[in-house]
Amino acid sequence: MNLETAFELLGLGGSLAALVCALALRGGTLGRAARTALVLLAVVSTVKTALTAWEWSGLPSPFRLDPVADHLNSILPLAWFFFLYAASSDAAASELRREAERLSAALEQLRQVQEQVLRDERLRALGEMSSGVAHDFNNILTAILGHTELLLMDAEERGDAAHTKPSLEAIRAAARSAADVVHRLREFYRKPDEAESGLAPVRLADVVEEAVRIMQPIWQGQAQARGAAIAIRTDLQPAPPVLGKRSDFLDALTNILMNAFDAMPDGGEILIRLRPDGRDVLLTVRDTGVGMDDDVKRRCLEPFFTTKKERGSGLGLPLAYGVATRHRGAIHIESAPGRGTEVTLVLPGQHLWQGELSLPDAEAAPPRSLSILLADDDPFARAPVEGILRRDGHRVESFASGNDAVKAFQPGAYDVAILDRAMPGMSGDETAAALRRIDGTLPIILFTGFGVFMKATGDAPAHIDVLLPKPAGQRELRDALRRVACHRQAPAS
Amino acid sequence: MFEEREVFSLLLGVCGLGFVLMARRRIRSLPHFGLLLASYAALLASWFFSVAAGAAWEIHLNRLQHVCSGVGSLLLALWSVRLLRKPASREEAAGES
Repeated sequence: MNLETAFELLGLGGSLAALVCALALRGGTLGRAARTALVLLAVVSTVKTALTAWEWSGLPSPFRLDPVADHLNSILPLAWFFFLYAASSDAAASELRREAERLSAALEQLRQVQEQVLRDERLRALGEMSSGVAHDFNNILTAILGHTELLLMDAEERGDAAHTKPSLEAIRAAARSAADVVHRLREFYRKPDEAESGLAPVRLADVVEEAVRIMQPIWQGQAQARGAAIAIRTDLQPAPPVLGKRSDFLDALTNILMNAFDAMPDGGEILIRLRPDGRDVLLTVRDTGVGMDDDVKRRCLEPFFTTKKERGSGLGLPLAYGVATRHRGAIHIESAPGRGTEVTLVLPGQHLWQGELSLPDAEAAPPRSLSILLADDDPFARAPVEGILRRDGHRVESFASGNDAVKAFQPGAYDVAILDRAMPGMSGDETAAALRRIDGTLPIILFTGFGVFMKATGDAPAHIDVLLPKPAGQRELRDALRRVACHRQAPAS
Repeated sequence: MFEEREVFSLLLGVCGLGFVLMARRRIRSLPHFGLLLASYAALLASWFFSVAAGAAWEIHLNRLQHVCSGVGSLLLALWSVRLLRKPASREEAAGES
């Protein structure tokens, strides 16, 4: 056998192998067109090399082999060209497909982020609106509460307490109740606050058990009245504790459970699942209720949004959202009409937070007679505060603006300054700074309708020792004065 | 003496090479694309030698042509085998179905 025949036979083997492989290829790296072109190429190559090998071997043949082999040799570059063209087109199509999938995933991610941003923006806007309303409302309540307390004191002195005291106490209770409503708004915007009492590692499994214990009698009674049956299942896996307030978690969970119950008018099943997920703890409540459509799902975290008409306050899920975000967590909601709802609280496992500066215990320092500078532009808020302070035996000089207060101020003449924040001209912050420049040790109380929100956002101005939210009555004023007295004494001790 | 068919094959082969150069970015994404190009280069060489054999050293160049043709077919077979053994990616399989 000569060298040419040997190499042609080698080529024949290779072409046959390529043909077999091309036929065996199934939807993978090459597309259908490229596979077909490869089969065609392998067939042409196989036949051409077979004929050439036969020709060179000198074996007898029934017809002339060389013209056919020559024709096939001419076709071979074309077969290659078709194959390369089909393969490159496949590669381009595959690249486009991958790009389309990447774009699709990015678009979905963008849509989710956009929804989150819109939701956060809505909540932020509601927070700002609530903050403004609360400020004005607190100023009004300060006047009501302060004057009521003054009247109560007068009633005692005049001896007609029997007639007026019940009504005045009712007014005071109503004013405090209104202050509580305003105070509750802060729950949506409050930040983690380690200085607050009650922060401790909480076992969520205990919270779940307690919530079920609290809710079960309510469910059973109402479900029986409706002729429906509701089954509750729990799946509590061992999970690390979560740092926070137990009552917050209980509030959040009971609100979510209440929603789940309301979503199943014809009965169903509620599954409460607790499980660890990396450093997080996931608390999931899944119901088999009516579910939510996209519009409801998008708005369900907005305060005061409810689908329960007069039966709902629209504060349940927002409260749960507030609890989750305040504890550096998140809330995920999966729902579809007719397919139930799954609400998941994602809470970080126990770790330390950076809390705000804690103030000394108010009870440690007894109140004493003080010389007080009071500045508030609102006479309705200023007068009762002045009255209460005088009743407590303090010497008070009041001013209608920060400028007047600074002009009148003499170092050593006052033990403490109480300043409203939102004053025309010189604001409370600026007045505090000016007073501190004159007397660096003067204790300053900032008395403001934005108090709860400033505490919530950690927005503590410089030069301020105590933030006293409006409205405040005798008890709160005494408490604040004890704190500043204690605060001034603290460095010395 | 030159054969028209052989010159035609060489010209087509050179055109194919031009296409490979133009579409190299896309062709590079083919698996084991080096082997495929080596196979094509061997065949191109065989076409070149078949033309060149008409001008000089007919026996030697003709022999070289057969060697290159055989090597080219072997490399194509090797590329096909490797392609067969490469697992299909999920997206490509999905696209195919």
